[in-house]
Amino acid sequence: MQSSPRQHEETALRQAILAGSEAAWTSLYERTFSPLYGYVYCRAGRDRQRADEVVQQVWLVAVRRIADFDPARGAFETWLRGIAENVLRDERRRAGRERGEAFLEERDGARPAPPAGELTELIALSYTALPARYRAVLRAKYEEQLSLAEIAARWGETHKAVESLLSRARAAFRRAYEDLNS
Amino acid sequence: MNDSPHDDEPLLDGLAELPPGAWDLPGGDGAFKQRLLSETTAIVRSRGRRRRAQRYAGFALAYAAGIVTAAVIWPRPEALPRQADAVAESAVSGEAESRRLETPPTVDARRLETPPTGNGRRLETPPAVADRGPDSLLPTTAAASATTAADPVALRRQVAAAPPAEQIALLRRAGDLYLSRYGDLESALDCYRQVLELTPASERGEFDAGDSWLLAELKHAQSSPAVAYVDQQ
Repeated sequence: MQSSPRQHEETALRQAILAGSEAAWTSLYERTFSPLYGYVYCRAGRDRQRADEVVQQVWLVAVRRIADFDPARGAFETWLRGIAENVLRDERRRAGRERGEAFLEERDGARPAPPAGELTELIALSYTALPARYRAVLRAKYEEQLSLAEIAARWGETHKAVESLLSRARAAFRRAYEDLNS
Repeated sequence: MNDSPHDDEPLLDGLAELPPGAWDLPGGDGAFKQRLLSETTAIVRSRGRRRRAQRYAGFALAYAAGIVTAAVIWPRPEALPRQADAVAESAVSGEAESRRLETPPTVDARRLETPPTGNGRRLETPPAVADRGPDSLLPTTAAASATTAADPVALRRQVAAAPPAEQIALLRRAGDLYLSRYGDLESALDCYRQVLELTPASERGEFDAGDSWLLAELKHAQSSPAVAYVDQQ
């Protein structure tokens, strides 16, 4: 299987972090902090305090278990989201125990997605699940209302390349949305 | 927007516009982000230090193991003179021991009541080695020279400064010590070869009753069939 540039880069960063490179860690942290925070914020019911707690736990787990991260199996951000899901599940379990709702965590664990009716929540979650480049092109297109030509000019890329990227980003967003909605 | 209709398709079917705030996700408080970064970076730093310490400890261990292995496998060059010193010391202490044996047991003799002599004076006995205290057994100048005499390396060092006739004696003595005390055939051969080289041509081939078997063999190999035996005894 051919490895992607992302995989190469994250493999190198992982090695550097394991060797004690603070710069490598800062690089990974800076590029993934905001998307992860947004994801956790949505999954934590848009509760900032809860999101802070969960995000802190996620990063502490990540830095201690960075050796377990395998770039061949997925992106660093995806790995972080997996940790976040586990932290959220544990948190719900604890809260359930405290409230005496023994089966709450089972129900929540079986269905991690928010209620299907909350469209905003679903869109936000689908959006945060996308790679950074997909998010950027979707934002430019659907939030800033830029044309493909304008995006291409701004990014210094060809119209065709941006068109292709937007098509893939849209498809990925729809898949993520469907997954959460189902 | 001048994109094609395909490019202008909605993000989701039936969703003409995104609900407000759908993508407005907070990226986290700046202070919180910095604090968390510092906290996690400290863990990365300590891990790096630990790894480096482990690596250095490994290197140090490997180095120490190498030193120990080398010390065990190869004998130290100074081992030979030390052995010689030990032998010399034992020789010196042996001398002292023999002197003690030769000396009458004066300690006991003084304790014993000696029979009164004619004028009533007791017999005076010289102090024994045992009574002289531990300092008396320390190597003296004579003992030091005895040590040198038993040390082939020290003897060979003296060769350069000695007159030619003494050079032969020193080398011969060193060769004898190498051969008889240390079983160092190679060093003994080296000394004997020099002895033969320094020996005047007129005296070559003369056998001495004090020659070691090795020196005798060398002389025999060097000399003509007609050899003269000189028994100095």
